Amino acid sequence: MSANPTAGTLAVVGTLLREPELLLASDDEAHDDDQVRDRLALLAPRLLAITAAGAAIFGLVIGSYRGELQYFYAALKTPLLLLLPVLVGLPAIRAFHDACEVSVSWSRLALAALVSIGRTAVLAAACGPVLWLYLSLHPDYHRAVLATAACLCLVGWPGLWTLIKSLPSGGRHRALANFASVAVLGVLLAQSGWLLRPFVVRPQAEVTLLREVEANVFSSLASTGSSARGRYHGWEAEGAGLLGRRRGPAASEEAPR
Amino acid sequence: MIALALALDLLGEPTLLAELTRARLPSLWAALALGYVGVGAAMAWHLGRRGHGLGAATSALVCWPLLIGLIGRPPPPSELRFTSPSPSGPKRARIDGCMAALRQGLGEDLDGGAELVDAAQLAKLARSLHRADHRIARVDRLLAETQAQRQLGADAQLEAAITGLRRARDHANHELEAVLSGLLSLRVQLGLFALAGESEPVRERLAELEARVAALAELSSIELAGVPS
Repeated sequence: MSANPTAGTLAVVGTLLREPELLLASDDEAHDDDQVRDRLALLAPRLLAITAAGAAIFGLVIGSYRGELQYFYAALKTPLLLLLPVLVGLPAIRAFHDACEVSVSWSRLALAALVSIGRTAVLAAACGPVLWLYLSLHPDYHRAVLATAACLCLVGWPGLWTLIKSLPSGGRHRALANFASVAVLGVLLAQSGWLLRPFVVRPQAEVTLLREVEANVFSSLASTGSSARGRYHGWEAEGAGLLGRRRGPAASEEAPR
Repeated sequence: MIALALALDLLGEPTLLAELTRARLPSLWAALALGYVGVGAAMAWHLGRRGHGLGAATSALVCWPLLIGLIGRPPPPSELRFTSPSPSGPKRARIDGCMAALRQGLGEDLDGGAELVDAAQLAKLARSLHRADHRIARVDRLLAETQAQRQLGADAQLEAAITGLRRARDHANHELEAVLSGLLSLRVQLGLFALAGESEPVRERLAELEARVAALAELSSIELAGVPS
């Protein structure tokens, strides 16, 4: 960013891809929380706008599998898919790092999280044409779901890496804190996707904004994987609580009433 | 947040939900969403009152948990400009280590350590040290390149310039090493301060080191100016 260092939104997009660390406070500035907060105040609106735009483009691509209203629904929900895990998981990430003797301020963590999801969203938008091409070949529903999940994993890793690199160095068990943070964000992302589904709608299914919560993301991925391999037996969506808790027989009987 | 998630899971139980519905409470999702947006609106209003822009206020409406650090703060003074990370050289890790030890010492040994030595003061010292280290690294590269060219043909003027440059480099390197040792001894002084409760020696020592680093930059420029071109 040497030629035109003023932080316009397009300049921020370029920096997110090339050198995301420039958006964060340098090691010297990181100890001055005021500077970090100033950066957060200036960058948060732009990073959120970039996240919303990039994720919405990716959502449009996913919605193209079914078409109709699903274009709009998927474009609306995909930014939430990226934001929810960060909003829910950030306190846990801070706690992990505090427990591992890595002190990080809330503002710095928030800035790092915004930069990482902004980068993920830009990369997702960049991946959009490839996924669109694949979906336009009218693959099987389960293959389309797996391709979408694979795309999200592909663009999610650079984002997670940016978050990890953005946190301060030092601490005796930093690797453990990083591992725990990645695990928590991964699980939250998967479960957020499950709560906000459908993204890829079956051709014969009705288009809805949200589907009723049933089973959990892991059982669904396993069944989708086996269905994609042609084994359709042995899976039914099971009624569940908010975190995918299975209903007992008594509860299942009560539910229709 | 974990407690919230567990509470939500509990509320997801059919019997509990049924009980809540019977009591004619609003839908759980609607109540949570309204609460979230309500807090966001309050924070957006607060940021607007403090003079933050429309963008920051709108962002607070959507994801206020990330912007909690902005509560009570005035808007940032100027447009953000990205700068490349501070220049550094081969001693970057050592400088960072010394500064981290000093910051840690200030946090551990002193009550109100941040008041004794300002964080901005330490950051400035670290930047100066990195710049000095970066200058030495540049001279090292220059000397290595010149060494390769020197094999093509000997030149008395070039030899004199290289000798002068090497002398200036060695002097700067020696000074930098001395400042780094001084920082470590300052860390020990912080322990003494914790025992005796006298802050003045620590401040004096830090001021001395700052002056030494500043002089290092001036000396380097004077000595380099004296190198025959």
